[in-house]
Order: sequence, then C-alpha cells, then structure tokens
Amino acid sequence: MKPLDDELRNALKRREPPPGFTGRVMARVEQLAEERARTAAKPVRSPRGASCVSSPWSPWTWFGRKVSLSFGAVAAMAALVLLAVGVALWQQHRIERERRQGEAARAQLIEALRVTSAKLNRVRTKVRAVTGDGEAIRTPGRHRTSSVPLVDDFVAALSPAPNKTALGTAGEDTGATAGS
Amino acid sequence: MKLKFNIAKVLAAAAALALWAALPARAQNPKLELGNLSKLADKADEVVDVTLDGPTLKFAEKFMQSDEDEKDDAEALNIIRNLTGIYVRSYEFDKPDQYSDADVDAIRAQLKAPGWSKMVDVHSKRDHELDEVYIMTDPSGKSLGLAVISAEKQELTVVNIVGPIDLDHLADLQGKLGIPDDLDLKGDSKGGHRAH
Repeated sequence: MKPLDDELRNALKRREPPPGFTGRVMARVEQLAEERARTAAKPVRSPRGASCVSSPWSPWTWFGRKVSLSFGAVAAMAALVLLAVGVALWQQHRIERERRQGEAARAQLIEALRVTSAKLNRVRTKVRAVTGDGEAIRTPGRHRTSSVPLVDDFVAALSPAPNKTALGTAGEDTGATAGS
Repeated sequence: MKLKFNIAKVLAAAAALALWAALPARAQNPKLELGNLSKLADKADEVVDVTLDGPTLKFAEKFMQSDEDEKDDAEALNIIRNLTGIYVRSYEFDKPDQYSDADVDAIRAQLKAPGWSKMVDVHSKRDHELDEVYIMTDPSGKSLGLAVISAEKQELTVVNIVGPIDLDHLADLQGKLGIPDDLDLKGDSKGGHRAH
C-alpha cells in the first residue's frame, strides 16, 4: 500500500502554473464573454419553432429574422406599388374608354345604315309608283321604263335573290302563256 | 433654232396631255363636301349627323366583330367591310321652307363631277319632293361610292357612302339593326307596300 500512498501524494502535490497561463485563461474568459454578448443580441429559436427576440426593442422582424430597411428602400417599394396600381387603373380606364367609343361608333353606323336603307326604300317605292307594276321591269327582255338608264338596275339591285328566282318563274309563266 | 422651238411645243403638248389624262382620275373623289348643310342644324327639329371616316369605320368594324352577342352586326359588317366613309346629314323641320334650293344645289353640283352617274331622279313639283340616287364607278364598272339626296317639304337628307357599296346587302337589312321589316326592301310582291 505504501507505493499507492506515495503516488497519490505526488499527484496531488501543489505545483506552480506554467508562465502565461493566467493571461491565457483571462483572455479566453474575455472572449467567451464577448461571444455570449453577441449571441444575446440574436433571437434564439426555441425547440418549438417560435421566434423570440432577446431585445425588447426590435420592431422590424420578418419571419423571425431581424430586417433592417433604410428609408430609401421603403420609399422605392412604396413607389413601385403605387406605379403598379396606377398602371392597372390606367389599363382599366383605357379598356373602358375603348368600349364606350366602340359602342358609340356602332350606334352611329347602325343609324347611318338605317337612314340609308329607309331613303333607298322610299326612292324605290316612288320609282315603282312611277313605272307601274314592278313585275313588268323584271320580266325577261324588259325594256327601259324611265329616262334614266340605270333605274332598272337600281330597282333590280334592291330586289335580291328571291325575286331573281321570281324572274325565272316570270319567264316560265310568260313562256307558258305564250305557248297556250 | 426652228427644231428647238418644235421640241418645246411637243413637250408642252405632252405635259398638257398627261395633265388632262390625270385629271379624271384625280377628280374621281366619291366623298362629298357637306359642310354647307351644317347651318340647317339650328333650324331643324331633329338632326342625324353621322360622320364615319376610315379609322372610325375600322374601329366600329373591329368592335362589332368582337361582340359575338350581336348577331345582327354580321349584316352591317358585310356592308361596311370595304367602305372608307359613311356620311349622313338628315334634318327634320317642324315647318316647311326651312332650307333653300341653293342648299341642295350645292350638293348636286358636286355630283356633276366626272365619275358620278345618276341612277334615279324622281321629282314631284306638286309635293315639292326630290329624290336622287347617284353612283360613282371606275372605268372597270366597280362602284366607288353612292350618294342619295332626299328633299321633302320638311325634311332634307343627304347620304354619301364612300367605297364599294352592295345594294343587295343594304336591302337585306330590313328587320335588323332597328330597321322595320315592313319596308319591303326585298321587293316581295306578296307583301309590303305598293304605291299606286
């Protein structure tokens, strides 16, 4: 047992630390203190995922991360948003204006065609009144019934396909009448 | 000396001939000047003043093509497809003699220009009515424009259509686009109106 006592006595004997040991320890202590201070400024996530900020005075946070925005960046973002809204409103206004213009043009066109058709019909009615029965104009081998050479063409033009079929029928009737 | 003088005369004659040949082509303008009728608007009870030039017509055509709900628009589209202008001036007055013969003659004078042919001329001295239809055609016979003058005691209407107009299609408008279907535009002898 004596050697064991001697070994223990030697192991536990007081020894002086090596030179610089104290300085190294103090430096390491200060380093650890600084790291702790830096870590304390960042939010630390709890095991459940909730964000928490160690400092009570940090209003700019975005999904647990501290966001620092300058006034210029905020102003630029606001300007972009305003620009996008303005463009959308202008587009909508332009489409609406074009729709109104299109409807106005359509209404004007229909009114113009209505007046034109009404007047042409009026003229046609008068021509028929002057020339008598319009059928006479439409029989084959028709003769000119007015002093204006194109009036027959005019009346014929306003009597489209169904009456041009009647032209053939009238011709057949004429032929049949002549034959009997 | 003599040769130079002759060449000058020949060149002058050729230039005059070229100018004379070009005149009819330039004069064939189916668009009428209807500005002199604008003063009648103040005296009229009802005014229809329609001016549809090329771009506006194309715009209306595009709008009507995109509006699939309006089936009647297909008829109007058929008519306006190749037109370059539609101009209507229609004035209804509440009493007679609100316009003068000079107003109408100013329009008719334009229709004496080369290219215009009078298709219909119906006068009634008793009723003081005048109805004329003119058409402008090119040398190949293709229509370039249409003009209608309808002058009554209390109404004056001038219609000018610029471009190839198909009267058949115009007749097909009855019953559509607000045009009454009893106008007998199609010349159905079984029905419609007949003036005797």
